[in-house]
Amino acid sequence: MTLPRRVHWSGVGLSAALLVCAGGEAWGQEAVVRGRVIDDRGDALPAATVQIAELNVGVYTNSAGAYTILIPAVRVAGQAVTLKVRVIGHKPAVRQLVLSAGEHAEDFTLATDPNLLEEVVVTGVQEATEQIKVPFSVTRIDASRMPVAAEDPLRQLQGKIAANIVSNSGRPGSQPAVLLRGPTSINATGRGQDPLYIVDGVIVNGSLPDINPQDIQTIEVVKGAAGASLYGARAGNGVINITTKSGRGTPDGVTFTVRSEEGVSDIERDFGLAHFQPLLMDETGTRFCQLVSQQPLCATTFNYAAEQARINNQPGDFAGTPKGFPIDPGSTLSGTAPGYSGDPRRERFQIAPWPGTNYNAVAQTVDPHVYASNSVDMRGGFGSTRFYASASNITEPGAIRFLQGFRRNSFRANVDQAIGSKWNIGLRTTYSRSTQDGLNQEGGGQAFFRLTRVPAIVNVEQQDSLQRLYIRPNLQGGGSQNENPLYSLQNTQRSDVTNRVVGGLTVQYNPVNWFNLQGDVGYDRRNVDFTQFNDKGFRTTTSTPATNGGSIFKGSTGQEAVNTSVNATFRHDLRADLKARLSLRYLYEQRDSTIEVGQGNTLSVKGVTSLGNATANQAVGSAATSVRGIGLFAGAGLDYKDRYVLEGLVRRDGSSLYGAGNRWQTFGRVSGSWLVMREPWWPLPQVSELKLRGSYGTAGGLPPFVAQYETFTITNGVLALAVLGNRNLRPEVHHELELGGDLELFGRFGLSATYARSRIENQILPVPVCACTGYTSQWQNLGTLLNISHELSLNLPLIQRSDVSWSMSVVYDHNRSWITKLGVPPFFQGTILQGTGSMFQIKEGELYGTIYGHQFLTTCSQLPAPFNTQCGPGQAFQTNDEGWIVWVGAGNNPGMGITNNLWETSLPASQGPWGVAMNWGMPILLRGDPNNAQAARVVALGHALPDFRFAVTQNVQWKRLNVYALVDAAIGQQVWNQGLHWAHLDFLSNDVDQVGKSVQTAKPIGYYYRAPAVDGFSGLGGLYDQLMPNNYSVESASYAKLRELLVSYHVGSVGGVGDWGISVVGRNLFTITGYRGFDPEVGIGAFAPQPGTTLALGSSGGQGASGAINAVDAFSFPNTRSFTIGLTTSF
Amino acid sequence: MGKLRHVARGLVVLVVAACTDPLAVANSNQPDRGRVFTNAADLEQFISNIYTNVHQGTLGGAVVLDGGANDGLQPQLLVAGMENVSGLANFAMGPRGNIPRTGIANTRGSTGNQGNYRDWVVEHRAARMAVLAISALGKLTLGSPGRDARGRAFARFGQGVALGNLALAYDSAAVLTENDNPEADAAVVVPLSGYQTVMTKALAYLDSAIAISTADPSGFPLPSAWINGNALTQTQFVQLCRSYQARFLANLGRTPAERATADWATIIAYANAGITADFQITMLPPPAAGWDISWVIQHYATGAANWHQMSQFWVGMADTSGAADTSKGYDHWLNTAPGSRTPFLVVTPDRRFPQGTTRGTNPINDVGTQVANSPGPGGARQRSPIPWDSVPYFRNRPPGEDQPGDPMGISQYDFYRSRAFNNASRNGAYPVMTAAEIRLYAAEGQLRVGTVAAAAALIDVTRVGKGRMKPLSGVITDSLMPVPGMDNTYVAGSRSCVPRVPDAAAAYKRAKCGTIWDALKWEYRLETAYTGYGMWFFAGRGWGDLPQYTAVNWAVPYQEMDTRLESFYGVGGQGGRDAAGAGNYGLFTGAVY
Repeated sequence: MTLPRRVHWSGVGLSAALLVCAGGEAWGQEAVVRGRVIDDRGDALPAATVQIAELNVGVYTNSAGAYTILIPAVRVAGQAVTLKVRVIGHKPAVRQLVLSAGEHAEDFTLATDPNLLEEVVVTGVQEATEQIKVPFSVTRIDASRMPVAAEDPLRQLQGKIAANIVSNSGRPGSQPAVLLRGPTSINATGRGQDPLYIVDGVIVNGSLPDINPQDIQTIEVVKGAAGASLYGARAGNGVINITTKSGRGTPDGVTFTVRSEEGVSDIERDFGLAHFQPLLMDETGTRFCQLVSQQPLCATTFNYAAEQARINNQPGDFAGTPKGFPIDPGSTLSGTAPGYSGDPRRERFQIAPWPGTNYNAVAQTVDPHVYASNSVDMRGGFGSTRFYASASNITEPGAIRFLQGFRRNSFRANVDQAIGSKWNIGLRTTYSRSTQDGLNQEGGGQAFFRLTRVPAIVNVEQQDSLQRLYIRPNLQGGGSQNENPLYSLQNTQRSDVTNRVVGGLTVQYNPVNWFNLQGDVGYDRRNVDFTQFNDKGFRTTTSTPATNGGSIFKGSTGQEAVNTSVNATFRHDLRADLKARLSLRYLYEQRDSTIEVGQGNTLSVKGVTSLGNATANQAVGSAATSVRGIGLFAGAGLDYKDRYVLEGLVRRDGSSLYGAGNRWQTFGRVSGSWLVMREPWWPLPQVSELKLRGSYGTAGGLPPFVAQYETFTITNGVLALAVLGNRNLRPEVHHELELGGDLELFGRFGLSATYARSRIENQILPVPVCACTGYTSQWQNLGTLLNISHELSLNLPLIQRSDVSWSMSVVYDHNRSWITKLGVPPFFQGTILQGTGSMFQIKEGELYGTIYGHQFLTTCSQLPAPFNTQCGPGQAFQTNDEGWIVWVGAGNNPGMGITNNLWETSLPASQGPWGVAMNWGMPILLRGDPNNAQAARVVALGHALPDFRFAVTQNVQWKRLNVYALVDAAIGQQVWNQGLHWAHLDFLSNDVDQVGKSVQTAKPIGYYYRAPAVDGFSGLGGLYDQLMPNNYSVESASYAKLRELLVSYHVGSVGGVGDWGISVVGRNLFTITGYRGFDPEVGIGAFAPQPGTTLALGSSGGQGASGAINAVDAFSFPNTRSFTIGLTTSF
Repeated sequence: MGKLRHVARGLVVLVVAACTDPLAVANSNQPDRGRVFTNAADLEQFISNIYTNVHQGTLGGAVVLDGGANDGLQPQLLVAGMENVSGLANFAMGPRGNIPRTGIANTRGSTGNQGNYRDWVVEHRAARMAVLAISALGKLTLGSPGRDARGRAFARFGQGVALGNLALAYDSAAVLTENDNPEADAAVVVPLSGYQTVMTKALAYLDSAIAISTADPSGFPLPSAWINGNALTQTQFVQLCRSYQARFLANLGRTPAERATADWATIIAYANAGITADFQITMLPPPAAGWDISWVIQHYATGAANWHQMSQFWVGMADTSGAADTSKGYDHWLNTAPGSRTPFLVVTPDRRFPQGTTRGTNPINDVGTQVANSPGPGGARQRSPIPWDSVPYFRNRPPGEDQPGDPMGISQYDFYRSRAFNNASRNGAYPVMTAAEIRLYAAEGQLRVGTVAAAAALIDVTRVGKGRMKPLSGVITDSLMPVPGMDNTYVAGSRSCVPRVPDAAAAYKRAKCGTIWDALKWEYRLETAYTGYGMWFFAGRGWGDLPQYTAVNWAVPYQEMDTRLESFYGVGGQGGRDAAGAGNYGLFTGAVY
């Protein structure tokens, strides 16, 4: 436990002043104030501050809750002073005291502060301020509310605050996407939608997984411009301010704490692979027919396993060519086959079991690994020096076979030093080193893509005679997707090593009560070295010399940030009941980043990973950016009668990212709060606290580095015009009005409600320009986003007794983002993966994040006239058992396909809606494109962002046993389940399995893909349709997750040694959802640098640049769940 | 004095430092006009990349805009012209290859929109680079008049080819000149011109390139990196310009009538002044450099992914087995219900196909050896790469590798001419314009102007030289005269002609001997397959050989119309604008399909 920084520093300073002034021996005339501070259950409250503001002195309570203040006789004059006691989680207590020489006994019992309104916050405010007086929403989470340590600080925040934090990839070490109040940039390429992250005053370069969450003391969150104006040009998305632990508030001496946690990680859910198949087999059901042109059907048959062995036991680096199937769902499914009369797409039902042993490729790929986390910290102080130091190790290998996951070692040293009574110095340093692998295995074409294409007959663990995994165990057509997913996991060696140093130095000078001066210097350096290596002899499904010869991809990135500031604060009581404050600040910030990559293939020598070993297709790439910013800030605040608070600030920001003609931008804020229940006329004693608050502020969104410049692309020396420059480019400006109230009933139950309306103007968009310019686009300030948010938090300390307590808290948020102004015609954008590039439409009036694609009819009204009148029971068009409108012909019904042999029939194009032929019983694609009646229309299908989110935390303590659970839910969002969608290409989704269905409900394979004639022989049709989203594969991804579960027991001292605790911890244990993929919590975020050209320098994840927006389940690593046992002790 | 000097220097440094805007940060990652156009060497580098951009906007595999390397018009052109068949939705191949054809909607988010836009943007970009370079050359010399002339000529060449490609592919485009928008200002929109106007300008720019290079050839040969691997002499440069002019003029027409009215006398002249050997570019695929044809990787990836199939409708025209027995080969295929057609063996005297009368012997007789130690037909191990121009061009796939597919699309044949190139990781020379292509424009011109004998002689260059079939010269005297059955030397029992084409008189249910026109088109198809930009498509629309309702060109992409604040439109499809009529050879509903 510690105090917020600025308050604490005052406390440390005051304590030090006392020590220095008082010397080591008390005078005979001195006053001594002693006492004990306990909570309302009778437990001691250590680390509570006890202050006498008039004398500028204060101390902390010890572990028994006791304190002693020694006041030199020279300062004792029988005056009235105020003794104030404060500790986190409890309401402060104030007591008047007439100070005279001798002993004063003053004990305090502090009431629980369920709404934490008395806590002091430092984020967004001009100086440390009690929450009750902050005129905007600041959420403060201290370590006690994060009992389950996560891999990184952001995962640890999930469910604790009302915000959209999406763990979009389960890859260990990945950083979740964060939207505090919805998206704020229509196009966030190169900058992201994340808030500003500050760690111990250092503005850091994101990448929070480098920070050890166990070092965190508090996290404060300010969500929008109304609160974050203080931070100016970078703060439009809000601020997450992390304060790490320190030795402040500790008595002299050292306390060591050791934590150890071990368990396993696995994957909760499965992906629905097909169990059956539609291939042609001989009459024995054991051998498969082979396609041989000009031979009768099934004149030749083969054994699947023997054929697998034949093509995989090739001595070379690639598999042999397998025998072909007459009807091959993995290939273009023919409308015919030699000797086959009829149409397999409408005659074949996926009901045949695979012969022999069947396997589950997902189960074979998922391999629970041992999760381990160990840390030790040292906390304490001597004299005027206080310190906190820690060392930790986390090993999170994930649950994917052959991958090592994420490992991090981190070290931290935080030191506070008081010098005399006026100077305080704080130093914060941390170093971490982490390794990660598997960064090449997400997205189309990678391991999880291939995993969705494994039929049940395939044993992906099968090895050939040379003990190599079968490279092509799937004999069907389908190209490289038929590669064994385990092969690349086993043989592509990827390693990303990160070294991170973050340090901050704060010097504070408090010469007098009414003035203080503070200087800060922050430094953040992050280096990543990455290597991806396929050794010579890397196997492929077909001859691919460049790959078979091996390849090397190496590179490094460096990010360095320095921020400095000087801050002066003046305080003055204009009247006895009117306090004023003025703050002035200057800030300078510089962020530099570099990336260098090199690559090549066709290695000379096996096993050598240096780039010089590559003999072909060598290429290099690099980029360097530098960003500088200057901020000038002035702010003033008034506090009248301790219940009316008014403040305002102005910040002038200059940034090198703005166009040369527009380097400076002004931001500001006006805000106020009214503590209504402190009014003398307040009539309701049941309402123990009520604050109404309002704030209007502006903050900025910076352009991406490249936006202001005219640029040519230059790739290996080849020039091309690219982007027109814009010297007038300005930042996005967030205007936010936030209104809210904090209510406390009976001194216990707390409710906080916030409404925020944010208008983000001057959206920075790459506007396509006429091709006649030769350039593709120009970044311009166009368009406005409107975000409306409603947030609620509820704290319910239901039972608070000495031996048992039960508390519950609920957070809820609802956000909506509309594009209210655009200034250019509508356009589509999306993410970087194939088929996803045009999934969101951007147009005026559109809800941001609306997914567009093709639609299968679900209502009669979607049919064009006159067909819409021929739709309904007994008519030509009817709704089938799955809810799709299908053509069945008048007098028939959708259950008659098999019994009446109707699947073979069709409606000619000349008689069909839009002039398109209809296959019997097949889903019908909505057509009627304005430019082409037969073309499918692109329409809105769903929304990527949830309607609302909520989380419920329960904490029950009985004697020494504590049970804590967090359920986190997101409701109303849709995800394009691309994995399921594309698996229909090969009929490898278990949706296609018909076993268990009746003759009335069973569907032929063409129902799922490649139903003929609808689009001719192009292969389009069926629920697969095309690569783009459709309303079959865009599905509800609402979920509720048991995010955290902790059962702990406080053992206490064992053999007189230590203070022991034992716990059982579960993370992501259980998900309630109707979603068909691995995990509804999914999205496409940024990609680390990859070999090739497109991603060689990395990517920020499409235009939305956030996994919380890019709602596509495109072969990401599923989130892991873990189950561990932990042990802690301190001594 | 020394101390004073130090103090003075220090003051100067301080003043300079104080005057420096700390917020002014240069972009060191990418160049701009301010840097490139003020340095002669950089300007020359810029000029040298103009044709690189032309290439990337058509055949090149570089990711020059958002989307995949192949997401341009070329995969669509290949399937729309039936040069390639694929039902995959990737790169809009399936939708463009539908039979019956559907239109190109060209609405926001519609299928293939990224590919539709890519070529449009990149070819305009190349043209703008050319005019910016020419403007810059007015202010900066490259070092000598000869180098300036070479640079100017090359820029005009790039400008002409870029505009010519736009005129081939789209119904209109912007004619870019150094006067229309010299600062490339986003506010200045150059009006659209119809494809004929654009082509007129393109041809004029190519004339200009020829004239500039002729006036001062001292800067030649071109540095070989400008068109990678082609250190063209001034004479060769002119030949290349003339060849492009021949290609553009011949293929501009959207309909048979329009093609027929092209200036064929000029085309003959251009073609005769054109290249005499295949125009090959030395490819260096990404990530190494900007010269690449990524599509080649799909040319023989037949079975596994079905990116590439060769339609038996076209390859079947080589088959002679059905001439004597209509229960065989192409005749049988034509006479089979469309949904029941299956691949068949092409028994043919044309040596560009594997020879033999049975599947077992056919691939063995004359299959080339293309890549050392890679599996060959029938399991044979192949020994060494064969050159591009050896025969056969196609592989008769071993039975074990047969793949199912759409009846109009599948055959037993794969394109293997490029296999050695692809197996070299797409490094090396690849022809993007064959001498045969240009020669056959002259041949067509001769037919158009009525000199059948001259046409026959030109057709025979490859017909005899590559196909080893008997010549037309001296036999064919009339453009309506069927190519007679003439050869039983190479195929035992065969006594028929090549090509054999679906017979309208037989409701396209059997084949008949083609005429010299069919022979011309046959040579063109075999000699240009999978080489240049839309080879079969651009020729096919003017010949009337596209399937009915195929869009005969692309509309101005909706993305561009949005920037112009104009409404957009679709093309092709039944009842749509710019849709092909009923195709020759029965390429319409109720005939062949």
